[in-house]
Amino acid sequence: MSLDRRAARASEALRRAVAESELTLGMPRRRGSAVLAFASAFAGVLVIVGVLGVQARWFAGQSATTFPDTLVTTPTTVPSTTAPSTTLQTTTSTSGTPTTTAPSAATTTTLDTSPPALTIDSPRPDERFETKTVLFEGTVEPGASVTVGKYEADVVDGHWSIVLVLSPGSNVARITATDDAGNSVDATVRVFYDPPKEVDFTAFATWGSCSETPPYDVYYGTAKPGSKVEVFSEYGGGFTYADAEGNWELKVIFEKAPPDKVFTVKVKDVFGQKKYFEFVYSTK
Amino acid sequence: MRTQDDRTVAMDFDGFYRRDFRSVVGLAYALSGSRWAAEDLAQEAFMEAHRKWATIGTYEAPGAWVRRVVANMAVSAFRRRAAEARALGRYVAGRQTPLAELEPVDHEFWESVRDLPPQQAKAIALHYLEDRPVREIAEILGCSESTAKVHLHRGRLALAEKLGETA
Repeated sequence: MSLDRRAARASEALRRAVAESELTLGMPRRRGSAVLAFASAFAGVLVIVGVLGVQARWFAGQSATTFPDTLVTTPTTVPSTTAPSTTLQTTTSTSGTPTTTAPSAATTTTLDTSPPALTIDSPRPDERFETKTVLFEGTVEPGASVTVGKYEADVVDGHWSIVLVLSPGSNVARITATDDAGNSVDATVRVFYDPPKEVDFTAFATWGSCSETPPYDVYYGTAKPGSKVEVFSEYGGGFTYADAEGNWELKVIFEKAPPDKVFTVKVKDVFGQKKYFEFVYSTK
Repeated sequence: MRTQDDRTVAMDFDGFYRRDFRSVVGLAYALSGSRWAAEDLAQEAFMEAHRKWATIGTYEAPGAWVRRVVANMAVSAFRRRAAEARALGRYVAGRQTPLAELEPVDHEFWESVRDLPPQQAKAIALHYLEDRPVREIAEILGCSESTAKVHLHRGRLALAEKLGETA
């Protein structure tokens, strides 16, 4: 049995239980004192009400027969295999036995049990990303909402979109569309996040002193792939970029370096990490 | 001294009560599971509405307000027990009879609903028992439509799993 059918049966049983019961508490009436109204409602002080001549209220044994014999109509849905649903109309008199009749155009309601249409247009299954945030989008039945876990996608004119943050490696996004009737459908897509290789910043000097004219040194090391590495000093500097593997190398000529004077060379990456070296133009 | 407006308001409340009381009792029964307390909880909610009718009567959907009150009371163990105690007192005095019992299969369904988190249970009861659209469920729960849909969706999945039915 489907959940909807089970629920329809249980709901009908509960409605019938209420309809067939003699409700005995009756209707609250307006009074000058709210305290008196409250007390009388729950204590049932019929005598006091009668003696004081205050407005009568309906009490035990009176409500079920005093109320107009209104008809309580409750739709009962029986899902069909050929149609979304078939509705029977159960009519229950408040003082009578429920009777089930054929559907009528005037009173029939149809319970929508069809899940909403949902597509994932992007990303493609097993697509790989090097960026952490990825836009997921697709189409959905107008009026339905789309959620991914506890996050809700933007839905405009049947187009949904949401930006998700991926974790390194495989990520499976389960997209859920739910329509106004509570019907829902899931769709999943797997994507991969390949984060950029993590490379520590390192810097080394080849010599530290040079007797060539003009003097120079070669600096090398590792840094984030593609990032800029700069070399500063009083007498010369330069910059380069780390390659795809994160390796970098830079020859720096210190044209104005005074002979035999030790000075400091600073190497810095884009994150502000620094390494310091000493250099001397040696003439001795 | 009552004014013309007072009389109009009083008449409106009568109609509102006659129209909605039984279905509110049903909602209280579904969410409290108590044959004894359901009517009492509904009565208490209507008493509250009656007291504040000058304000609530101006609402576009006073039924949503009273359902929100009764749903909150029904899922509160303390309120439920208090209502049961009052109802039992009236029963002993011969002034109240409990609602009819449900068959085991239907009882099991509503018991499973009551095992859900409160907001999910309310959404499920309003959806199935009262056949209310998401917009009205959201209004009664006091949340956005999207949130109501999520409560409904998760509630249905949990119910289907628990009852071994297909969602």
